[in-house]
Amino acid sequence: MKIIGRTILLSMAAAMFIALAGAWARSIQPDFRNEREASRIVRRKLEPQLVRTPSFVVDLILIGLIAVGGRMILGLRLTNRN
Amino acid sequence: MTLKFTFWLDVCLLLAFAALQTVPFTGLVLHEWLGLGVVAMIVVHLLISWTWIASNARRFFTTSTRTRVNYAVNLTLFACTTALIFSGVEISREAIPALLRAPAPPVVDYGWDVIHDRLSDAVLILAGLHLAINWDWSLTAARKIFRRA
Repeated sequence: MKIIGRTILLSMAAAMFIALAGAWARSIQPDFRNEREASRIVRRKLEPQLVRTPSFVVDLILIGLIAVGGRMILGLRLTNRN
Repeated sequence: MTLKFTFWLDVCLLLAFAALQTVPFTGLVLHEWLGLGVVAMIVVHLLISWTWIASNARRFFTTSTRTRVNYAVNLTLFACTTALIFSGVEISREAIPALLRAPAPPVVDYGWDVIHDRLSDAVLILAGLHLAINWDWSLTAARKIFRRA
């Protein structure tokens, strides 16, 4: 019962953020002159490309670097976690 | 058991976030199904962390600045991830049409597509900051789990 209540609360919060994102999406006008945007939509491939594995590794390293930066520069730390 | 489950769930989320950043790496089909799988993982992740979320939400205005910053980072990550996943659903070409047994719309919604692209960068940064906040917990959990093994 507790879990259902918490899931409903999470869904309500998510619905609020989705509504805000919807307003943002409606405010964006298509710019067909922007070729970069157009090519990005077209170039999506259905099958995995293992040659792109380095991009995955780079993203993992990037998350790690941001985490280190967040701790060293911004001083982000957990004070209490249950 | 709970520590092990939480730790591996978080590792899976981290790997999934990184894999979802590059669509060509997974391909569009796996990208979309993995994105939907992440929804379940995030819900479980949040339910496990509920005590922290609830206690910090209750004393948001009376607690330390550090706790407020942590809460704000986590809330922003939740907001961006929610919008990112929903925008992914809106522009889905494979998974959602398969689930609904309906053909994909002929044209991708431009607004949602732009949002999906921009939020993926924001989520990458916020995921890194989220990891920064939970760095000590992650290291302690990893040490405990691998020492036991």
